[in-house]
Amino acid sequence: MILIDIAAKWIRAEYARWQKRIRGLFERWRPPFRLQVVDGDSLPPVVPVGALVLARDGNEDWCVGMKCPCGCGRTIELLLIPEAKPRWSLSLDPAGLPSLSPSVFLRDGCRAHFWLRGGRVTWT
Amino acid sequence: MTSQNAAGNRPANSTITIQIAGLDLNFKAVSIVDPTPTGAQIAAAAEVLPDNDPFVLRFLDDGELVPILASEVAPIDDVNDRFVVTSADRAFRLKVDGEQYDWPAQYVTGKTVRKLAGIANDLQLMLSVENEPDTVIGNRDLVDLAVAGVERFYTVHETWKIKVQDTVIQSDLPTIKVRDAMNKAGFDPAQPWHIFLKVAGQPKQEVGLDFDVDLRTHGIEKLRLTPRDVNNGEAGNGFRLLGVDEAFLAQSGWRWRTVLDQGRRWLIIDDYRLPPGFSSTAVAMALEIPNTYPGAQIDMFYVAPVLLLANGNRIGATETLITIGGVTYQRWSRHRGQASPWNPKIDNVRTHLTLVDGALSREVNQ
Repeated sequence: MILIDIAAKWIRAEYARWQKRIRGLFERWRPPFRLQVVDGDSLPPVVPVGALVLARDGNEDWCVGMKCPCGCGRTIELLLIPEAKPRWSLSLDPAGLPSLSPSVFLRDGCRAHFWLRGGRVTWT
Repeated sequence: MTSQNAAGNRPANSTITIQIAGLDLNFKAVSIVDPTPTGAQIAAAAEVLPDNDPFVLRFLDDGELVPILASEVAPIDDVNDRFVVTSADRAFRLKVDGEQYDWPAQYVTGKTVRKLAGIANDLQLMLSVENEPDTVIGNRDLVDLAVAGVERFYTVHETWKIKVQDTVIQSDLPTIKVRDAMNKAGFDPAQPWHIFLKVAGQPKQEVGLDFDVDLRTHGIEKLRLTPRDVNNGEAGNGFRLLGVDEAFLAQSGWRWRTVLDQGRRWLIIDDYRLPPGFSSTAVAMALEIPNTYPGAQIDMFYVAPVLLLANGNRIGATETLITIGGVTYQRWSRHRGQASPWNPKIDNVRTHLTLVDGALSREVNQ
């Protein structure tokens, strides 16, 4: 019985490792997320695949939205306003590619957990 | 006809009482020594002299104004019968919600129209104006009835509006709970949301479901909703502490998390080492973080499992047990002394844990 337990644990760990490796390979082929700015405090009804949409109300950045990079189809909305908890900060590198800090962790559904750095997804 | 019968039943020279008002419609009881007064007698009782073109109107319960000629006997049924007496040579016609009224003066205020037509307070009085947007008539607004044509008033429900995300909702009441506004706009309040109230020229405000939004607030814009479905990967699964606390905990090397349990907020450090002399070497240490922390103090501390001294003796003021996330914690009723009250500017998780360590050491060093 103990052996079966150990084997099951090992298989689960190997599966997770391979999943991560495959996702990592996939991320190299994915074009980087690019920033699109929309006017107003809210995301548009449809967030295009591959875009990080920034809702800018006047001179205030309210939120960013993106399709979940796991492919589940869900739109993720992250608040940037300082009053929000949790909140994220958005930065752009010289090439204009967006980074988010800290990481993004969906509470339900696909439970994706990733970083967006320089437009690219790093799975944790 | 009933009125004449009623009048006829009264003794011949008895006094009767009626209600008389001027154009303000503030009725006062006036006595007349004649059970069957004429228009002229009522005018005299109201102290409008015959030379001043007295104009007597009977004010019926439904608001209708019926002119009584000077020589005409006024039908009187009751002490509450009301008459409007003024001096005018003609009446001006107006309509309120289709009902016609003849008003014995050129000007009428919104308040008078409301009294005349018996308009409920929660309705708004409007005046329809040709070729222009209709106007709201406030109580103090004067309307000139001499303008050609019949002035048409109408009433509307006062409605209050707010945007919920991109949906405009209306409310008949000037305040609305966030929960109700969300329901009206088709958002499920049972789901977790970040809810921000935006008012032009004011800082945005995070609000809860039971917050009453005052829709009369100038510049009120919208309730901005964001699904609360994403954690920021570093924040555990409960709530954020102060930046200084998170930095302190990060460098402490402890495994820690924040937990919401039945509306109470807890910081739990899973492997908190104890000084020797207790029944355990380490505990899960829980601190209750009040909603208004750091304004409100962190008080006492809670440990799991329940501690005894190593020799089996009980520890004073630790009898109370509570559960956090299904685990039983022992409450250590230890409080700040008079000499060192909580200071929101200085005190935080780190300073509180120094008091915790002090309290733990005292138990084993005695």
